[in-house]
Amino acid sequence: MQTRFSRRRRPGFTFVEVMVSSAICVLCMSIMIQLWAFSTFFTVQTSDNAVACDLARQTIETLKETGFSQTPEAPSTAPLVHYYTLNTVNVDNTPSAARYKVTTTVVSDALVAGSNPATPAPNALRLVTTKVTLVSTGAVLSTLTTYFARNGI
Amino acid sequence: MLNVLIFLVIMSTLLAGMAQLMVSDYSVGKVEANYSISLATAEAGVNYELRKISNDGTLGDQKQSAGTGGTTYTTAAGTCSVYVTQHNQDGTETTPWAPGKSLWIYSTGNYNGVSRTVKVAAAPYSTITPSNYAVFGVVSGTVIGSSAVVTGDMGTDGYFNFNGHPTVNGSVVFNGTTSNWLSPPSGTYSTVHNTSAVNWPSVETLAVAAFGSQGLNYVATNNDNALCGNDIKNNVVTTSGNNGMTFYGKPGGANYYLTSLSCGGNAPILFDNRTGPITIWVGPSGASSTFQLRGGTANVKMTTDPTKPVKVYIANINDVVITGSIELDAGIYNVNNAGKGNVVFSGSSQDIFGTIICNTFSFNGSPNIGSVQGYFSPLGTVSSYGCVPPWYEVGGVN
Repeated sequence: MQTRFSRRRRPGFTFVEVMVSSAICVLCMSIMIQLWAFSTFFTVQTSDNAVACDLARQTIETLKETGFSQTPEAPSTAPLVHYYTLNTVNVDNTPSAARYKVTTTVVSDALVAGSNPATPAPNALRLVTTKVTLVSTGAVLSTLTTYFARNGI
Repeated sequence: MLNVLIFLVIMSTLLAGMAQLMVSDYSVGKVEANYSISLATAEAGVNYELRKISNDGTLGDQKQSAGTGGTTYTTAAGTCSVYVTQHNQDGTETTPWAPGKSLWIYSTGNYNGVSRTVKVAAAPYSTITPSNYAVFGVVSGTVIGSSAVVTGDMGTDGYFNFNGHPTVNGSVVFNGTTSNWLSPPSGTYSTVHNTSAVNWPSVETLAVAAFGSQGLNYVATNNDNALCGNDIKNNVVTTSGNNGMTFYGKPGGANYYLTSLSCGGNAPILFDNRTGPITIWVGPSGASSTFQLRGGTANVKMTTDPTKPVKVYIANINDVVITGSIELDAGIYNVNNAGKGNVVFSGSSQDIFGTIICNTFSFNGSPNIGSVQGYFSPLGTVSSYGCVPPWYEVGGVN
């Protein structure tokens, strides 16, 4: 027997189904966002490391070009400091615009006695250390070290 | 619902792939940094070795007899293993390296498991005070009469004997503790006494340096004599009357080899060095053949273009005679192991624009010798070692 108010099944989602699916969606979206953030972080990190490595290498090559005796002594108390943007443009005049800071020390194991400014002795071994840091955080991105000797490469 | 889930799974997979790509990219960046640091460390090893052997050549890190390992040094970034081998003039590579010789330096930089090896050529550097010698007699020098005019320094490791009063517009330089006048000259000269003798290499030594271990024997069969056509026959030049001859230069330098040269009559010698320098080698070492030169005018004088010099190296022990009233635009080098290279000036009104380096010399005329620097250099004391081309990365892409 049919009554006037008999319930008729219609297609659709129950409230519980909607809630479960929403929860799954939120979970998946959360994972996706985290993956996106993770990818972005590593992309930036990779870019910074690559640029830092290039800047360190460039600094060493520039000092080689300057030459053994013409490269000034630069102890850790008075290092050579340069600033660069993300595109490796030198911005020593406006360090606030820099993304990278390149700090270079040049320390000789023998100096010409009484020289001022300090001049490396002809037989000196000069330890050159270049450190590239991120200006915003101070994190060290790259450290490159080599020796200079008279008539060396 | 199912479609949404499939979409999310696909998106998640793609993003996971991208993340993995980023991590890989990051790893590659780190490895590249390691490679860069390894190279810097390898080059640090080269410079460390250069400094070490410059301080004391006997301390060079020789290649181990077994294996290729060298001495390992720890730097502020990584370690480097270094050894040296001898880089011979003929291009061969031998062990052990003898101090004072050219060398190869091998250095392997190690950092974070990455190794890079460089092979760098190095050579000794000498400290030689540039000389202004117009004429130098290693054993002795004799000047007869007062007509000779020397502009520049006269030097010797032995003695000078002036039987007259020649003009010296420069200094008379005695090198070595026993070097001095044979007897006091009649005139007054500006004299310099150096404690150390000047070490001029023999012609054969210079030939070995230029052509490898065969020295003069090499240039005897590998030369540019053909540039002179029939003027050089069987390595002999003989001129007479007014029929002179011309030596021709070429880009990179022309090397001639003669066993004898005899200029008779008024036959002039010319040097056409417009296209390049000219070097004449006279051998073999210790031979007793004739070398009699009657002038030699160069198209391009050394003072005009120092890249096109005319040099004559004579290894004979007989007298080298510069005769006639001539002009000579050349450097004459006559130092041999027998100590008998004697250059004789027998003409009058000779104008020499060059440098004469010989075992002994004798002025018996009125040469006017004007020093021109840059022709010859003595051996110096090795003061340091430095890099020279080439530079290789062993196993790398250069």
